[in-house]
Amino acid sequence: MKRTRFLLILDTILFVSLVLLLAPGFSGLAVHEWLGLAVIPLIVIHILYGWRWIAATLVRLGAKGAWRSRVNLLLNTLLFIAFAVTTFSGAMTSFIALPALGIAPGNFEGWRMLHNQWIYVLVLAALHIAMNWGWIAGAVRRHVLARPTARGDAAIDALAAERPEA
Amino acid sequence: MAQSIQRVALRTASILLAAGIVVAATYAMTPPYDQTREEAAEAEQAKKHSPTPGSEEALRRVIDEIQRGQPDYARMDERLSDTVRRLMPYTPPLLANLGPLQSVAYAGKGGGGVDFYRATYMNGSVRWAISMGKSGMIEGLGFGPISPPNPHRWIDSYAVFPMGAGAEEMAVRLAQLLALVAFGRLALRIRL
Repeated sequence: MKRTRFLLILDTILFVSLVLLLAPGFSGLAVHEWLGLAVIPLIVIHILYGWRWIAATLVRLGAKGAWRSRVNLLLNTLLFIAFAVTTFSGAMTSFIALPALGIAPGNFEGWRMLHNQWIYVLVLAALHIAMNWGWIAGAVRRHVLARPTARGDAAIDALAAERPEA
Repeated sequence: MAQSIQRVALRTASILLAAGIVVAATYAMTPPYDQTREEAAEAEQAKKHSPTPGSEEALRRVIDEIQRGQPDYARMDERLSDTVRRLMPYTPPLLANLGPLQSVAYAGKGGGGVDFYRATYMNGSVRWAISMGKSGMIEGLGFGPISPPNPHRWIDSYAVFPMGAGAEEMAVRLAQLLALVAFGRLALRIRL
């Protein structure tokens, strides 16, 4: 359960960070750039915690009736690509964070056009949350509301055992 | 313990390698910005369309009014005049560094009948967008940088967002995210 609690906290931080990153007018450019760099290790940890699920899903990819796994893997792959491109293009159009680290990016306009495609991150992140809603609801009921349900606990246990959904 | 650390290190390296491959592929497909090519494409666009009658004159007038800090709200529709009123404390300082306006050139048409113009100032260029209503009122107005912007001006362009507008933007993004989650739950009927 420590793992679940840790993941819940991590994912909450990621969700709040995502909303802030999608609204640079509110956060200001400095917070937007530094937060964009700060979420990189958090995303890596998020993927590390899902590693066995990824490996198990890849093994089951060809199995009969595993369409949910295939859809989930495809969505996660697309989200990874969108996130990598958005983060890197953001770094390449950085005027505060990277110059402060002594790095002078180039080809601003080219990278800015890519960074402006953030809508893909929004859509794919939302679908990723939708795909994992059972786990989120189960974890919140258990660790926040202290009102666990059988279905919620089953969703938590399924991920903890790193079994992909059928 | 050592095996565990090794496993985590390998997996982390794999993730970063995958990200590196994605970024390298994107970099290979991203052409470097070429201002001459952009200007040529703009000129081609301008040849294909003609501006809405009166839009250039209206734009020149509103640029002058905004730079003087005295826009004529009577020539704008109600929604636009509310937006301009809200942003007026911040807009003239953004344009002040550009110096006096030297020329305005038509740069093509966008969706919804928007006319684009390239305004060249003493210290740089800005792309303006203007849309005119049937009654001759200005219904839409906006501007943005053309060439890679000066870092201070780029940073300032985010700093000028009033808190209310920024909070509204965040609320809209959060609503979009939650609406898409709800759509995903309903449309895909997915559970773990």
